Amino acid sequence: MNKNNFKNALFDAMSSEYDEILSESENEHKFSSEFNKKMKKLIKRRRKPYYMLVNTFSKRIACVLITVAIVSSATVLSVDAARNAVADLFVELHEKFSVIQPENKTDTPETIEDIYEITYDLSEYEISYENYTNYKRNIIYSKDNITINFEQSTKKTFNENINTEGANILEIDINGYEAMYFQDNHNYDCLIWDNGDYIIKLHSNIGENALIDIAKSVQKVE
Amino acid sequence: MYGIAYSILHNVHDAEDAVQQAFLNIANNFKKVHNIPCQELPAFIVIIIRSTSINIYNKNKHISEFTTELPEEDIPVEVDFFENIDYEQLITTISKLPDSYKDILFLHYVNGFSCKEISKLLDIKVENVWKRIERAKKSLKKLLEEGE
Repeated sequence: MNKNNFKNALFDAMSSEYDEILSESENEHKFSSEFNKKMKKLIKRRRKPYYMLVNTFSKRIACVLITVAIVSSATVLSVDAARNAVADLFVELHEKFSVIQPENKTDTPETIEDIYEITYDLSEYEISYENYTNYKRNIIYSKDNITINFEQSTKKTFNENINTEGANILEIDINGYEAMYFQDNHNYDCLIWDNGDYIIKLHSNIGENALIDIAKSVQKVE
Repeated sequence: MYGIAYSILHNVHDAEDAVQQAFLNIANNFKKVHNIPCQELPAFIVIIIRSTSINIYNKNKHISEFTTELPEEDIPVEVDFFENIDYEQLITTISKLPDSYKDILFLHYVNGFSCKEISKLLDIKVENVWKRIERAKKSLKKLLEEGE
């Protein structure tokens, strides 16, 4: 017997029981007006195309911060860039933002082939946002007012402007890789490193030490 | 869904909350739910609303989620164990399992949800999903061995 037969046995054992439960539970209940209002609101909100971007308070704050960063970065394009190399990342520092891209992109995966994930215990956090493409995996964990933003990107597509206004950029060792660390002007800690195949980025207000622990737990899972 | 919720919660408002939460859990996983075959959908709906109702019941009674660690000497039960079991005997024994065990096995092996997906659907911790699956298989194995 293989897994399919076990699955068939489960289905054959339980499906009629569940069908019976459903038919026995038929009810002429009239839902309250409060319930109807809540459901209409829920459905209406989910229909909006940007729902997944703003369906939590923390995401709405993140959208505002990103907008502010884009607007403020656009005003400093005339400033001469200070060029700096941090580990394997090429960092072009401007007054208010930095352009970060990998130095060595040859012989690296064109798309996401191996999955890297945080293995640190985040069971008390909910996944408030997920987005997966061929080139980037983005997961945001949230609990109360704490968010942990995890990104895995292919090196060939990673090229980001990051808010580093007033930030002091440091190098930190993460499992043998030199990571770029800084705290932005909203007191969010950020760690970015090149693990050879992908760029891993962590951005959070959980605190520096906790973020470093989380970064060290990032492993290939499949 | 309301009928099932009310049979567990015996309260109109709590039952409506359970229906709403179950709807939300399903909607948040709609991509996967959309692919569930029609014949498996009734079971899926029963499992979700039943689990959501039990969560609300436990919260109301201040009962925390079961988190006891498996003893270290326990080895996970492989599905291959059930290979040599008579099919009819296996079906009969599965039906004797507690509802929580049957539900989790159905979600994982029949509907094909991962532990992480089940965690989101049932609003329980990922590690507890895995533990419950293992306990369910161990319980099934024990019942089969006792029945021999």
